Amino acid sequence: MRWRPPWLKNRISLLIMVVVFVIIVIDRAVTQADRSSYIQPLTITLYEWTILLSAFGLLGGGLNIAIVHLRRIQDGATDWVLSLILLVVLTMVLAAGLLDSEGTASPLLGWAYRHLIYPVQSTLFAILAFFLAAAAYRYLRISHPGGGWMLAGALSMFLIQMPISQSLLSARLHNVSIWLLEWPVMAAMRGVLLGTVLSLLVVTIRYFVSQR
Amino acid sequence: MMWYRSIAVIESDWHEMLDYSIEAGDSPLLDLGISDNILNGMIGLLALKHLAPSGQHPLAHCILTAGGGSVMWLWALADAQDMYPVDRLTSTFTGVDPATHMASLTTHMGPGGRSDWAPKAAMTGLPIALRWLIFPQMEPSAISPWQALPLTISIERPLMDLPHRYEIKSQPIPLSTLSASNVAPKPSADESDFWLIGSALIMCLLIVLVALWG
Repeated sequence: MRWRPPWLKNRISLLIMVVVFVIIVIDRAVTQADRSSYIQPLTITLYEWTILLSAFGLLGGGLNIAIVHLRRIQDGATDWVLSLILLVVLTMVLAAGLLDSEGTASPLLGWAYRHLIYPVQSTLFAILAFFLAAAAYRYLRISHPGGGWMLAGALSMFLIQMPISQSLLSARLHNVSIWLLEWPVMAAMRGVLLGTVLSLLVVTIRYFVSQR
Repeated sequence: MMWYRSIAVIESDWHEMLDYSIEAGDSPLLDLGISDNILNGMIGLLALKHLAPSGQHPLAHCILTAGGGSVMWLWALADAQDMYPVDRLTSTFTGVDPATHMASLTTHMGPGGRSDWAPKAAMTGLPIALRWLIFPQMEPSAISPWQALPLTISIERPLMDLPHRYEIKSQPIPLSTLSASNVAPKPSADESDFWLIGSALIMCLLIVLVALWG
């Protein structure tokens, strides 16, 4: 195979990216009537490729996890038992999906999700509030004057938005909190989002041309 | 949400982490975080790419982690293979959702975690796998949720204020004029914020209790 210099490879990637970007922008810009004629089939194909690529990425990810943890077990790395447990569970869940004729709709997989994965995830995120409070207390107390105000503000918003608060607090206060969230907070959020997405586009181009 | 960070800052933090890990005899963990959108992970990928010219860096064995529903981890894997010898770097996928990502990080680092390269991070007492979610600036390139933004700003500000803080505004007072009686104690940040943070913690507890009761 003929060797190509890296800059040429980068230029080809950049060209492909620019072409795809232009196609997607045109698809978003034109009206529905124009879109259905010639651009839409092309963009649908591109989106399908993205989904396929992501599916391939997930499949590859599963394989990568298996290989990395097999190596850890082989090398007797620290806490290799955890890797062994991970591999056993991975194999069991995979087998449950593959051996059942219903595939991903298999009742056994459904049970694993409902009774194992969701409760574990909920538990993890439920204790996050305590971790956040403890970490904020330990860190902000030491080094950041005024950090407590931020914490109090965050907790106030948390309190106002709780279901029980809606019945206890006055309707006016509730409406004020909704107004805060829907106007100033949303406006700031969208501004930041737009700015960051534009900067990320620049970063992406820099990635392809490999410049700092 | 590491969009507020520049590539140079991430790179500099990574270098610091690498240096520290080499001294401590650890495997440094370069976490690119989880992302369902390749665009979000671009800064981390570019920082990784720029770390490559310093591939001569006497790297310990590195672990590169990335997750999420996008192909970011494949991209990172391809870049890492171009940059580092296989025996120096292990690239690994950490799962699609945040919980799996945290579990994977903990598995790779062990329950004790790696030795802490960031002195600020040690103050929080947070498990390393949770830092990207709560104090994003402590994990150089992890993608954090928007909800962590106020905490980021709050912690970054003292660093940004450093030049002003250390600016000499007046002539130093001669030591002979100082005595215990004429130096008025200034209230520290600890004292001024203590009551407020204490009440916030009590409020937090009350919220949980009310949620359980309601």
